Amino acid sequence: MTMRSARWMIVPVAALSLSACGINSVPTKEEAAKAKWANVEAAYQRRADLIPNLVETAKGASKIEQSTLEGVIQARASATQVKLSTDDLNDPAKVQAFQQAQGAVSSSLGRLLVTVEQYPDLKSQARFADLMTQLEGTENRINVTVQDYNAAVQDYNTTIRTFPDIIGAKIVHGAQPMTPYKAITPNANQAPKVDFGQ
Amino acid sequence: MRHAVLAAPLAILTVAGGCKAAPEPAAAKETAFCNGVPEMAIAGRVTDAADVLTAEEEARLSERLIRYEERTKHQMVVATTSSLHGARVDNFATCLGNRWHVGRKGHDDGLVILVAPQERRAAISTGPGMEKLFPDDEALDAVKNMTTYFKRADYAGGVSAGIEAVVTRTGDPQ
Repeated sequence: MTMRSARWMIVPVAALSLSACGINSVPTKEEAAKAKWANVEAAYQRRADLIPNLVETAKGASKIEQSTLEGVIQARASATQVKLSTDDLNDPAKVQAFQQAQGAVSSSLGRLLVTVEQYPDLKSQARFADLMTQLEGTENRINVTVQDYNAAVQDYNTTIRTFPDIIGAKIVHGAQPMTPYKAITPNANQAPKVDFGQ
Repeated sequence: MRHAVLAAPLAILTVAGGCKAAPEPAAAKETAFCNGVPEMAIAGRVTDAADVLTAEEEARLSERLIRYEERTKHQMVVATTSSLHGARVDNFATCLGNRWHVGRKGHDDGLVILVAPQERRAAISTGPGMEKLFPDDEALDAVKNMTTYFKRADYAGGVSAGIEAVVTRTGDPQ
C-alpha cells in the first residue's frame, strides 16, 4: 500500500517538470493542419473555377481535338464530386480518392497543354495566354499549400506519437494520425515560371 | 479499463497544474511561400528596398494608401526588392504579406504590390479575403498595365497605376 501511493506521488512531480501533456497542443496542431487543408481546397477550387473559361476559349479559337477538351471537362466534373471534409483527413483511403480525382484533372490539363502546343494561333491569343498564366499561378498555389499542409500534418503526427503529448493524445483526445497529401501534377518537381508580361 | 486507470492520475495532474501548455516556438514555421525569400524589414506603406522611388514619390504613394485604408479598411503596401533570390515573384509578394501581417485579422484583406526591377517582374498579391473583390485575372491585367510604365523606368507611375487599378475595383474610385 505504501509502495503504491509512493509511486503515484512520482507522477505529479514528474508532470510538473514536463512542459506539456498534449491537452492543448494536440487539438491546436490538429486545427492548424485542418486550416492548412482549407487552403489546399481553396487552391483546387480556384483551378476548378478556371477550367470552364479555359475550355471555352480553347473551343472557340480553333479546331482543337474535342476528346482532349472533353477529357478536361469530365475530369473536372468527377473531381468536384469527390468531397473531402476535414474529418476525413485521418482516413488514408478518402484522402487517396481525392488525390486521384485531382490527379486526373492535372493529367487531363497536361494533355491539353501538349495539344495546345500544336496550335500557335491559340497560344498567341491574349485571352488564352492570360488564362494559362493564371493556371500556372494556381498550380503553384496548389503546390505551396500542399507543402504547408504536409508540414502541419507532420508536426501534428510527431506530436501525438512523442512523449509527453502522447499521454493527452491517447487518453484525452483519442487522436488519430492525419494523412499527408501527395499532389500529382505534371512537372510537380519543376517549379513553373510565371512571367507577368514584359 | 486501462484507460480509466490512466485517467485517474491524469486528472490529478491536471488539477495540480502539471500539464502546462508547451511554449510555442518563438517563430512559427513559415509557409512554403517564403522558400528562398530573405528577411526584409518593412519601412512603412512603401518599402523601397530596390531604391527606385524618390522620397517625394514614396510620400505621395503612402498618402494614397492611407486614404484607401481610411475609406475601405483594406490595407495595401508597396514593396520593391533588388533581387527575388530565385523565388517566384507571386510567392515573394505573398510571403511579404504574411510576414508583415498586411490586412485585418479575420478579414485577410491585405494587398501587396511587389516590383523586382532587376528580374523585371511585378506582382499584386491579395489576401484570401480580397480574392473575390479583386480576382487574379484583374490582378494580372493591372500588372500588365504597370509593366508598360516600368519599361520606361517610370516606377512611381507604374506603382501608382497598379494602386489605382486596385482601388477603383475595390471601393475607392478617384
